[in-house]
Amino acid sequence: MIRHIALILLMAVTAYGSDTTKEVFKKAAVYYVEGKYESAIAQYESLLTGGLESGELYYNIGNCYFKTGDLGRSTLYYERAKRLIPNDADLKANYEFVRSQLPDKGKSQQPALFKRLLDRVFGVFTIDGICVMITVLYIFVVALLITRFYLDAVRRYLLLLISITAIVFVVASFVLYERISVAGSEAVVLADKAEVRYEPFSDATVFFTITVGTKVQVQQIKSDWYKVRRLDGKQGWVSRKAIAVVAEKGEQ
Amino acid sequence: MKRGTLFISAVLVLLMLLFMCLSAAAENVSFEISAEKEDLRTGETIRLSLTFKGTRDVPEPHFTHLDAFTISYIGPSSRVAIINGRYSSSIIHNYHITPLKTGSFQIGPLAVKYNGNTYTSNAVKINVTEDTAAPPIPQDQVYGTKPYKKTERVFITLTPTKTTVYINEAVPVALRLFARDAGVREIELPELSNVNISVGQFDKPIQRRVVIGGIQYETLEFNTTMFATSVGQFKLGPASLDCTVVMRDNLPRSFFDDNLFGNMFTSAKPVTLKSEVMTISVLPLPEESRPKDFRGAVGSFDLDVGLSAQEVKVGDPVTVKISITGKGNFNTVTAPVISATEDFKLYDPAVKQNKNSKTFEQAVIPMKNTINSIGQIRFSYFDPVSQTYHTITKGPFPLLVTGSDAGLKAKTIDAQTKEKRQQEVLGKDIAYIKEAPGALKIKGRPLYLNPLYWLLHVFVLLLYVGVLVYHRRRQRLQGDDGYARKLRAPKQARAALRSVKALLAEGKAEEFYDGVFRLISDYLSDKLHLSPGEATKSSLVGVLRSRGVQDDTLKMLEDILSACDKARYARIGFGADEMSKTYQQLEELIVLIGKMKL
Repeated sequence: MIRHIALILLMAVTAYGSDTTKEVFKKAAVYYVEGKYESAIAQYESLLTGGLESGELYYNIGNCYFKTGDLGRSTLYYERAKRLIPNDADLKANYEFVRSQLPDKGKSQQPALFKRLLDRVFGVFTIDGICVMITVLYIFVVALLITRFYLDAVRRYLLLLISITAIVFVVASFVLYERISVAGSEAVVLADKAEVRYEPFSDATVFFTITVGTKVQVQQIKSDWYKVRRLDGKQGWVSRKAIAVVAEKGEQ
Repeated sequence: MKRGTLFISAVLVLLMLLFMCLSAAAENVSFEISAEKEDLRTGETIRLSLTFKGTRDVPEPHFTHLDAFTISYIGPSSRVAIINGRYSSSIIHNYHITPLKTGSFQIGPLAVKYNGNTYTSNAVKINVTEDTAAPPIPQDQVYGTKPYKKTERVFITLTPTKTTVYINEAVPVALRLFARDAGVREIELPELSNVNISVGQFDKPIQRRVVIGGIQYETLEFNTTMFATSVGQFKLGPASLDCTVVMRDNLPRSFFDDNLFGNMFTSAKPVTLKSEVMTISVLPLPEESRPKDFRGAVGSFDLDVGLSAQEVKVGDPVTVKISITGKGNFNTVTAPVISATEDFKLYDPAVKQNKNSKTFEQAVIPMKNTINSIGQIRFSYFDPVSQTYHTITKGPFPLLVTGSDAGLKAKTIDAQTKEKRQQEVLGKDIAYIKEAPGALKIKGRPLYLNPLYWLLHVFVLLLYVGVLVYHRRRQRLQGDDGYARKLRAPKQARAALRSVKALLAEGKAEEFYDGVFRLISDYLSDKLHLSPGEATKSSLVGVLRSRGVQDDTLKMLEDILSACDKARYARIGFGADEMSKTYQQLEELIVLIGKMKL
């Protein structure tokens, strides 16, 4: 049954990808060239509302928003694209450029050395990529354990090979855990200047302000208010309209 | 410090002050005058001091007129001393006096009234002779020695050392701030308006004291250099200088006063001082005997050349360091000419300019290994003092070039491309959109949330367990004969049963009973791990009984084996019914023993 459903979905996606999607991309590209960025965005958004996504799609929307001068949404869509095509050179360049145009110049706290190292090594992988990596490592270990019965060479280096694989496996699992934990809590400020308050009320005292494109961590949600944490550790409540979450929980 | 100690100290200080006041009250007041020098020249300024001993309260006596002298008040200084327990105090009022004519003069005795008492001083004699010596500051003889407004106490002058200059000739310019009877503070750097004349930055100012027309001035001198950039007549100035002038009851204390207490009785006024305007005549450089390679350097210079290496490979750079030192306008000094450079590749030189030197570091790349020297280096300049052109020539400089020319061409092209790339100014914008949709997938379904993903892991784990079990069993089969026989027995028994059943169907009684006996013998010896010789009726029954097999089962075994014996040796029991019964018993026995753990 599951196999049948998966097959139907795959066929549907492939058919959509081959015809409608290409048409949409072509149409949007024409709008983009003509400078009709809002129309191009509408075309791309139609794919998103159809339940499809790709790094390229988010990248193009980010470009369109940048051209319209909306740095907040541009940053948001580039962030979304980064989850799917983190190794794309154009994306990296555009993301850096847009960050440099932000009021706070995209300043962020430097993570610890270990984390920076992990980001560098695993930065090229998506969440699915890391999942696949973990599975491959797992199968590799099992294969080693099985082949040791039949191959002397494997038996001789078994401990070394399993130790190395196990270390990579544990680190990859940690990175996956971190990525999954962050998913759903990363958000980007869309408003030019958003006031972060002590309490989730519009007449509460303003604690600090965050500018467009700033990345924050969502801690809690209460009706129309997000409790957010800035990179410097300051926390407060901000209107839901002022920010957008990069990826909902359960999304990549 | 403890509170008690503090209190005792305070009391002691108070007692001391009281003692001093009482002692002071008891002092006698005396009045003396003294001059710094007795023999003077006209225009020379000396200090005249009016000293009141025994008090510090006598105010400035307003001593403003003195025959044959100009007089200006400098300020008071007071002194308190305790020597051998004896207290003494005094106040000195200081004046500057400058003789206006020659002769012998007497100053004093002077009388000063204070607190109802009149104090009379001694007299001092001053001899004034004609001033025949050179003026104190010779450069004041040129332009600008006259105060801009003589009546003012503070003014500035602008003094270029020359007013007729050659184009690009560096001429020192001095801007002096003069002050008398006033303090000047918060002095800013001067500004100079000029057209077609380039003026450098002012150096750190120098403080001096000068006498002009018999009046002593404190001066602050700002020096710089100017040069004209066009031929003709141009205005230099006026120079302006912002400062604050401090007056103290019309009686100044000291020049550039920054005394804290001075502020209490002074009035400060910010002013902008302006100098006179100078006319500068700019001459062109003479055309006559101008060297061919003259490039506009004006001044008096010297040339020094050095190479970074005496030996170099073809295509590798050698640096020629050319230093030009001397006096003049270094802005007009350009890199000297290196002759015979056809076989060299030259780069733009790196230039370093200081106040009295300019250095050119020229990278030179020999393109052929036949080169044996770097050609002559010539530098021409115009000396405005001697009004002539000079040319300095250095070299040629021997250079040993090694290596071959092969591959140099490609290297040169690479270097040029690299150079161009370095100079390239890069624009900044975002990259173009993607034209292909990429790997589209259904939104929001990461792999780790897919149950199939985890099932795959479970499957792999089960696979491993299966392989492990299989391997262990295989190992045991290979190493444990008893286990292997035991494991083999049921399978073999089933096969034997089938063949026995076939014999039964065919009615072959003798073969049937042989088969039954062989089946039981093989099956039980495999099951019980017995050697073929041990598989007799009594031993089988005995071993099975020792392993806890029940009597009815043993009875069944004995019956079957007895039937076999009868048939095989006495040829009894060949009937179909008997054979069927034996077969059924055999089947039952195999099942029963198969279920037992032996």
